[in-house]
Amino acid sequence: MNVDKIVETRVVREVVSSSPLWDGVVAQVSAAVEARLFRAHEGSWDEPVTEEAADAAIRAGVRQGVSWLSAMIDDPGELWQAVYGLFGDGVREALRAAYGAKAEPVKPSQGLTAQVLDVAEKKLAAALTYELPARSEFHPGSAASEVDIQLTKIATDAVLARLRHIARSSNFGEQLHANLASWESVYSQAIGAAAGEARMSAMMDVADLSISQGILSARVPTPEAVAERVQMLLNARVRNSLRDAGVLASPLSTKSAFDVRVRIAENIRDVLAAVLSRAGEAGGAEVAGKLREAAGNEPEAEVKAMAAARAEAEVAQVRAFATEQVQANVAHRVMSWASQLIKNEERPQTYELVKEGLQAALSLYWRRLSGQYDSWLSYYDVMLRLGVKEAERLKPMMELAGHAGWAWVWQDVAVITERHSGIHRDAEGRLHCEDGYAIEWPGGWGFCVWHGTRVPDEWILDKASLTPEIALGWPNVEQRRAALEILTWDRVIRELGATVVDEHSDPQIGTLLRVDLPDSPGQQFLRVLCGTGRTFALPVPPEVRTALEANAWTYDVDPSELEDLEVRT
Amino acid sequence: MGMKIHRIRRKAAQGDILIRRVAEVPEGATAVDPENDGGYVVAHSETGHHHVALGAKSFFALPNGMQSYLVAKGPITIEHRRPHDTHEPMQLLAEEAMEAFVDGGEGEVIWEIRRQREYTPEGLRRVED
Repeated sequence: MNVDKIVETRVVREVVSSSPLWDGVVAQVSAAVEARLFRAHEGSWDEPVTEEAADAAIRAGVRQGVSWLSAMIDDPGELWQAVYGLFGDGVREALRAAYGAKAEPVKPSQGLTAQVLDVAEKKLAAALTYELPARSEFHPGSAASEVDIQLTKIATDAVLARLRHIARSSNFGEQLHANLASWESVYSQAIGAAAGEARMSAMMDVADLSISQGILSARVPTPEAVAERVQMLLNARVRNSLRDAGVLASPLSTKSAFDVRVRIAENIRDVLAAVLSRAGEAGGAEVAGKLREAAGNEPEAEVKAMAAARAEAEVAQVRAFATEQVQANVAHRVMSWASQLIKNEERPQTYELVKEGLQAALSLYWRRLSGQYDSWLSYYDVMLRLGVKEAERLKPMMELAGHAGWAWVWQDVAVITERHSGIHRDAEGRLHCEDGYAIEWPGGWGFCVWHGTRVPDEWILDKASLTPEIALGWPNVEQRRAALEILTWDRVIRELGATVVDEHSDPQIGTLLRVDLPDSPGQQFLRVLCGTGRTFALPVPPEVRTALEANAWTYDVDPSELEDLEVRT
Repeated sequence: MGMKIHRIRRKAAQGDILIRRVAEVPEGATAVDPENDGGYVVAHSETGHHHVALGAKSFFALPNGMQSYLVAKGPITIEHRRPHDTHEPMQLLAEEAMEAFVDGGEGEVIWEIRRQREYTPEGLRRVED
């Protein structure tokens, strides 16, 4: 971390507090839906479109709305996934539909409108009820359901914001305003603290459980034993919980939560209806102008979006590694607190102190800005270029992303971390480096990755430390494969004096090798090609005689069972 | 992603799992709850790259952790969820049983999922990725 890199905190603070993300998404989605509907109804673009094409465009617009809504209900940080859907899928499909067909101009019809509403309703209902079974069902009243409520609030707010926008800018505003007021009071009564706080307390629940179970389940409560137990539980729970953060909000299983979703669905339908009739009005000149302008840029936008999608995928991979590392650091920090404290304290007090330490560590994790890892910003960058001026409010965050990694911003001070200083990939875009960190930061911190598989640093940085014995004995099969690739099979066979016992004509059945390892003479391995084109090594018992027998043994089936496999992927 | 979907009628392998049709769910297998998206994780991965079955009616597992059973009333799709080096998805169809699937038929098809194992001098171990 470079503390001399203090940024203008006021600007960043303003961005954070104004929560522009939602407004931006809402504006963008409604503009996209409007664009498609306008095109379908007016048929006044230079290239006329068929009713069929228009219908497809509308469907794409509706799908965009659904993606948007899912994104709202999911973790805001995972918005990029929806963004991929919005751009990669929606825009491409709409473009194909609109520009691909050049027949009769389309006329607005009641049938078309009804159809759109029907599709919209069904899709929205599907999206809203998609992940109903649930976590909160098992933990009623837990922090997880609090998260549900909070994120639902965010989604609701977004809907309300959209409705306000419509209310302000259309003839039928008064009626909508009336609806709006009543919903707002219902929702505001149901909801308490900020979403971040709820998330925090969900995390604390997890931590709570890990620590209490760790302390209780260590047979002899020595500091080391407790530390080990807590570490284990924490690692698993924190990892799962963080990984699941994106779906934490989805499982709304309680009746009331379901009702909230249905209400949102109904509201969205109203929004669509409003947009539809507005698009049908002759006076939509302002909208039309804006949309024409945007449409002129669409092919360009598509190219950008594809580039952005590629970047999304790559950044996501980097982020996954970075997140894992940070989690490990958090857990490590907690552990050193735990073991120090447990040495000197009685249990109940220890528990409180450990909890406090954990809270501090976790709050560091959650209160961050992700800088360059906020890959969803690339979407708004494209939007900005398309002239969606709401996205301007994200400019400070984009600037931050252009210059920094994770950042923590407080009232008068900010800690900004450096961007990585090096990143290496293979031809397929997977993190990969044969002779150093695949991704590294100034200060000498980094990860070693072999074609997308994280491997112990020393395998890459100190090649001599990786021996054929270590490779073949490595418990994780993916890392074992990577180790064997690093060493090369030729070298492994040569150095260990491996002999071929049997080679099947089908490389997916494999080759049976016999190796005398120092502490395990007469060990047999099946070298086998996987459906993904990679070669794995699986230890098999010394008594199997053929590759087919060995392969069948791994699945515990008769060798004849493998002769009529339909496919192996 | 333009990935090919293999249609399976009887038996296939996907990475470290073997899938085949069997007559019934054996005794001792217990029901497993579905995931949030209604799918069943037929093979967990430490690194989050699960094999997931979508479209099954229910799912049972033996306590040994090596065999589990999907109960189908229609086609099931098996996906390998990973951003790279992904196994192609497959659809389990059971041709001769398709009649039982349509028109609200009562027919069921059982698919067995067998996890791959490997040998250690101390005993057997499930293949983990």
